[in-house]
Amino acid sequence: MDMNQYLDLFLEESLEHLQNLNQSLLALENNPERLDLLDEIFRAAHTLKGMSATMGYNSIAQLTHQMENLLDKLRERKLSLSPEIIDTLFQCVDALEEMVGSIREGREPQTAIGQLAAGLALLEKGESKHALIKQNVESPAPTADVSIQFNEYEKNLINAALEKGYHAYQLQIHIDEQCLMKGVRAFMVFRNLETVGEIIASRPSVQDIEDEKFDNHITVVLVTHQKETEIKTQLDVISEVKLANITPLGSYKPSSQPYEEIPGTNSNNNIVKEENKINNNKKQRIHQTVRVDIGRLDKLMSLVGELVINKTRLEQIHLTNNTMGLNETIEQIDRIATDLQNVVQNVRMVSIEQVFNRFPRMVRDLAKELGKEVNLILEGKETELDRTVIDEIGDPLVHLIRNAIDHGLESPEERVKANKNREGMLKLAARHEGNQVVIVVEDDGKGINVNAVREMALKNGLVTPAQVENMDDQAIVNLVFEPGFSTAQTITDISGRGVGLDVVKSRIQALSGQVHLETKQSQGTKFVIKLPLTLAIIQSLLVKVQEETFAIPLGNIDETTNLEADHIKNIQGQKVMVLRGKVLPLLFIKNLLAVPGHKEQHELYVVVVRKGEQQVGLVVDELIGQQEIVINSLGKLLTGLPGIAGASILGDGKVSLILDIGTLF
Amino acid sequence: MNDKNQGNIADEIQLVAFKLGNEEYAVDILAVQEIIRWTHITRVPKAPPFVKGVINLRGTVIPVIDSHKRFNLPQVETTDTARIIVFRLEDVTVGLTVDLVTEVIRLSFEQIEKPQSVGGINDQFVKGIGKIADRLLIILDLDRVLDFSIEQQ
Repeated sequence: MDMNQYLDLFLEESLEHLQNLNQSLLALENNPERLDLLDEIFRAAHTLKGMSATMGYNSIAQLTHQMENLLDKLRERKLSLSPEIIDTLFQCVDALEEMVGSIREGREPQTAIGQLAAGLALLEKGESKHALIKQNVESPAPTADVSIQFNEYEKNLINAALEKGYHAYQLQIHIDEQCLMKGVRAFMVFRNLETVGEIIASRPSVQDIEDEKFDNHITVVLVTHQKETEIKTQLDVISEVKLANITPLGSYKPSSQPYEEIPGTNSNNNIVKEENKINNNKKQRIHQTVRVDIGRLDKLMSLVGELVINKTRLEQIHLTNNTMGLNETIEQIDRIATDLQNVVQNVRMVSIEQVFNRFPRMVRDLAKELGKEVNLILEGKETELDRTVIDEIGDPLVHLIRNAIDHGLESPEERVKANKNREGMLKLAARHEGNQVVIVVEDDGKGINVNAVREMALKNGLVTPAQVENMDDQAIVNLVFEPGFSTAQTITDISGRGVGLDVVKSRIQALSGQVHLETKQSQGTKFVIKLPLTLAIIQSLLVKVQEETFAIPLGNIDETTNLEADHIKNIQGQKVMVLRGKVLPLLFIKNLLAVPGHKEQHELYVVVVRKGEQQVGLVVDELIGQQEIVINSLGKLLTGLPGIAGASILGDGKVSLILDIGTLF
Repeated sequence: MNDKNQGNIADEIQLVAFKLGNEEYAVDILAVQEIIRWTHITRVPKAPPFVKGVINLRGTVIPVIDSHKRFNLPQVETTDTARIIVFRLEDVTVGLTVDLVTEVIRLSFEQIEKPQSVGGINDQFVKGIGKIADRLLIILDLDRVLDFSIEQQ
């Protein structure tokens, strides 16, 4: 059988499992008692093993098999978890990632796994001096009727329900062994129970039940006003289903541990699976999803783009010919195009989680390597961004995080001396702000030393002493974004080769975004990145200069105003105007972009744009109006032109350039 | 396919011939995607001087090279016969302005000579000189014409 058609699927799924492995391992390292995590890790390794064996990648299958053996021992408590085991497992995941990487690049995986496999085998036998053997100390008999192990969230729900006078019951339900469609029976159980109350927990998870991944027992927790008898009646009407046990639950004491280990629970039992975190007390439904090739979405997007262009073209035809009846159709098309555009844009939206997810592991490794203690806080993982932005934003963030750990955060000893927590704080937060996404990378380290920056900039010839005289602290700090700047005392593997922040800045600008930085000596540094939600279609203001039309992204514009010739003043050779008492520097697009033509203008217009903290008035001949435009690139041959973000095709079929305020002046 | 045809394919090259001023030029037909009428060209500020601008080619924005500027030829008025030849090379689509497209021509390799210094055009863009009777065709090396890092001398 030709396996190639499955290759994409294999790669895609492997990456998911590897990501899962990484995450669960990290969590396990912090909560070694959580058997459910071991289960999760085991499952991921097991699935990988199966998939790779089917595809004929034997080295992957072999390594995962060894991992499985070790994990099995851990699950059975024949072995206890040691840092050494965790490290080895991490190394295995790295090796697996490398191998999957080679396959993606079309090569056979050639990573040497011999040593890792041998290490795993050794650990499995408990022969490492660090790994202690636990000789089956406590191996309670598997019982089906142990109580559910609740997580904190579920406990809170139960407590809240009890406080409000509801009853909480734990129901053990058996489905007849002969039953052919137990999934359907389980579904009926859920449906009937929900007529009398709300199910707030279920073991196995709802998803596993839907997939028929359970034997004949289900345990659920039901919160209800009804009496036990009423619940019984609801279940009695379903054939082949029996209520084995019903126990009222009392309230739980709040615990400081996020997950409480109940002694005597056995990991082999389905009942203690905790992967399923019930996020709301409604019945949990799995969203149906389809994997779509991003190329197809891009095509769809460009078709929508064309539709939008043609819509504006129709509007123009209507304006010139004023045909009645056409108006209505145009309004309809306008509505459809807008809806379609929204839908397609939403489809392309991906939560930033997939970028953030790689950071906990990276931070852990870096912190270990550099002997620092880091508490990584991730906020707003669910924030959604266009796929193209997601793909591009990872590297700059990696850079900023590395910088923060390497240069920003102090060593634990230094921190203690400075009266700070031993553990440094590194926060990564994402959120929506209007039609922008803001990503913040913040640390509570030593901050950026303004004097050091000043000296370095002078030394590297980035500024002259005279220039430095006139710069305030913020302006000096911003010099770290200049090419060829580095304050690192020693060059390390991690950062500090003098290429860094300038790359970060240019990458973000290439995404039509902005980055700025705030820092306070010995209190920390904060990088704020602002990105547009989507790169494909934007709102813009069309302006005319002589015979040429330009588009200015609305996101950059603060306001527009008209300008009479006698309003223009000169300050030290710079043309300015006074706008509500503020002096506004004026830049003439005609001069900035060398627009040809000599038409005299009686009245000029000013578009007030903002670049970071700076406000500037762009002088144009005419304001045409606001329009939705589709961004086209100028092609590979014309990249990186200063001041030009791209081109757009207007209603009349002509191409108009989109100005890039970030690099225009 | 008989032997004679195969021989032809191996020995011959098909070219699109066009005029710039009084000189005749030619490019490999395989690189030509289409030839379009003159259209509105949007000037691109700060682009290299030989880039005339960008055009809308059925919904795609492509750059157009001003061949007179690229080859250091005297500027002429744009007339009715002026066309834009659209080339497609690997992943780049780009237009080249020409004064007049004359014909599609077959040349055998024997009719093509190695380039030597030709008046008017930088020989760095010349792949060879085709000879048909008393006509001389300057065959362009498109890879170099479209390589923006090569500046005209």
